[in-house]
Amino acid sequence: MSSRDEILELLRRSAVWSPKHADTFQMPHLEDAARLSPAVPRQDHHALAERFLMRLQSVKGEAYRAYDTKSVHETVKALIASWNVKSVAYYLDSPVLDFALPKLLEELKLPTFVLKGGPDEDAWRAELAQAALEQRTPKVPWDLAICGCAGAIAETGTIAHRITQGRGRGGWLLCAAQLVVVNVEQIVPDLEDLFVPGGALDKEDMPRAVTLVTGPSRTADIEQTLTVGVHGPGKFAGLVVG
Amino acid sequence: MHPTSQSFKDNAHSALTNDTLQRALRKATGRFVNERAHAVGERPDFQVLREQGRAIKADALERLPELLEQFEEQVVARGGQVHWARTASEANAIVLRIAKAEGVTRVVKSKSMATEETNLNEALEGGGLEVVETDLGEYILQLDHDYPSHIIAPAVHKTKEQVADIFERELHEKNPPDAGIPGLNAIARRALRSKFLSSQMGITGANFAVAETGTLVVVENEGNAALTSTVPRIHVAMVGIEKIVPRFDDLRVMLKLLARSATGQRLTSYTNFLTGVAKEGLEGPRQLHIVLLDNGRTKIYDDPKLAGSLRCIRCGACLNACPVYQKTGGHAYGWVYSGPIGAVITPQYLGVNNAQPLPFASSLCGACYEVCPVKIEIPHMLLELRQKVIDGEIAKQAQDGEHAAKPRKSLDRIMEGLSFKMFSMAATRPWLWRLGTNIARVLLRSKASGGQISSLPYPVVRNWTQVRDLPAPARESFMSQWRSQRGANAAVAEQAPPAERKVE
Repeated sequence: MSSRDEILELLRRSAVWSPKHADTFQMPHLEDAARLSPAVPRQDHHALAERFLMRLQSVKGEAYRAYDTKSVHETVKALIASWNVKSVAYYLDSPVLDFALPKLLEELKLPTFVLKGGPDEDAWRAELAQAALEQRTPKVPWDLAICGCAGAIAETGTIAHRITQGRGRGGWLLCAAQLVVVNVEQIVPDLEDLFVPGGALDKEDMPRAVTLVTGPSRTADIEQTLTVGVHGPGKFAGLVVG
Repeated sequence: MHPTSQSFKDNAHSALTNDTLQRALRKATGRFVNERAHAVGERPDFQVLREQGRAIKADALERLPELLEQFEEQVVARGGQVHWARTASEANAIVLRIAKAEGVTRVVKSKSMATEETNLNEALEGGGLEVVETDLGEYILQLDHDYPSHIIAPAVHKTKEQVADIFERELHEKNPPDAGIPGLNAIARRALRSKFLSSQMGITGANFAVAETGTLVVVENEGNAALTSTVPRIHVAMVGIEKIVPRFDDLRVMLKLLARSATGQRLTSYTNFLTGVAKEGLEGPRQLHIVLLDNGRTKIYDDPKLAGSLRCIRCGACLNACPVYQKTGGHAYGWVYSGPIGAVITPQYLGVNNAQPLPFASSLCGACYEVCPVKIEIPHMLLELRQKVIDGEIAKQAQDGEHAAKPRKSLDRIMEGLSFKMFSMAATRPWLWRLGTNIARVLLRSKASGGQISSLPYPVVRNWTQVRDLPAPARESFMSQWRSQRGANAAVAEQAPPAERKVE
């Protein structure tokens, strides 16, 4: 008998867990939970944006709000200056393009790199690996990754990132800093609101990886002292537009 | 790791006399308890969520065989492979076989209790592979050949000075004097970056495995699990069979419970939902292997009183809340799982005879149950395990050919039984209770010095006072003081004018 069959046989043979209500089981009282949740109503975009930004700050993220291309550019410029960014990579996500960020970066004369999220990026990964081994600066460095998102949660200050065509994780995971541009209409009240059809966590349309990102990479593994940037970006900003 | 659970008392004694460890435990458990309380307090629906979490996991266990088959079907449909392992050695052999077949020489790992349980690192290193732990705490422990003392804060027992010494010794990197803990993090980031980028295989565990979609959920704060499951071309996940949840929608509840209970966060920094292999042209591993691990879980599943322990989602909340764990730390428990849940599941995995003291390593205060996000009845289970130890489980297992543990001293057992009988008699007869407490007061006060009792020669209580001081009882009982006080009040009332008495 294979291990598979043996495990299943042992489980089936057990008298402890007879399926008492397997056919009739429903998720209990989810609506009750939703009603009790302190989340902001989904229709109130302004309140959702405020809650999202407040929650993001509470997890050591930086929070910004902008309403048009001009204020988006001003915010990004200020961020680049305060983080002392020398080079930028970006995904061709809609908010990045909608607000002409590639043009801004060109004007700022910063070295830029377009991330496509596919095997094309293996070359820079190999270079990063080699550089790390040789303890030198990589030839294709960038210290800020700019991307859009597939949704955001007000209650937790979280953004959702889906790996799809043109969108990977490596480009921002390996970076020192990350800026996520969030359209105000993408913000939902709480986690369960991402699970709806068409949402970032639509079970009928799950890509290889969806990552919910809530602030910068962090650890408190040494003496319970919180520090950021142990593997992922140590600086994380959310810019809500619209 | 070689289990030392039988030596709990000795292990605990060492822990209690280690000042550095005591400071670290106070800081860590205090922080976790406070942050959990804050995060839970934010949600008025938290008790509803706990009930939902319990129901979801109970439903998963009731239908576990069919859900495991459904999970396998979904993983295969999305390009992954599922392997089944009855034992730890079988699980390790599966991973090693995959690595050898694919020409893997270097493996990065994110934190996984299941792989700790199977000693996977040792097995892979024995097969000639380089295995690198990437969770900062686990990495520190790997470099120092140590093992975790907390489910979610594995290196809680190390100081920053010790970590600096380990890095200097093993990585030849000295932390600049003013760099502190961020400097240590930076050293680890540099050292591990090249490992991530040059490994062919990444190994993770999983917090949940969704039967409906074949999705693995891995929660973390550092980004190492995201990198481990993104960069190498092969992703292996070792997953206990009890990690199954039936529906994708169940995650709406489980994720709200997990982070709040574990670290007091609303969500962890990274919550990864991993479904199948990466499609052509997209980023991610080209192979996904999921090892479904039994290693004793089917045996637990068949125990009517203890099977509920399989609901555990490894949040560690019960550890932080436990007054025993707060003092002894995790190493005292002598195996991978520590704290109250460790005291329940370790005897089941290793056999009661090989972890006999653990069910007794509890005050049964119930704090573990109060914080458990899936409402595992840990105190009841500990009592059940104590019963197993006391009621001849030892003898039965000895007959079955297992190693027999040394029975407890018979005199102590007789005296313990007698004490409870006497207590029962006295508690139901007020005159006997008064007489008994008066005698006990006189005896105890005769052994007191400076208001404290440091040791008692009497059976049963002797063990208590070996490690504790008790305050001496009051000269007069509460009832006696109450009567005297009431008498005095009555006398005052008698002397007061009638009108005043009326108002009173």
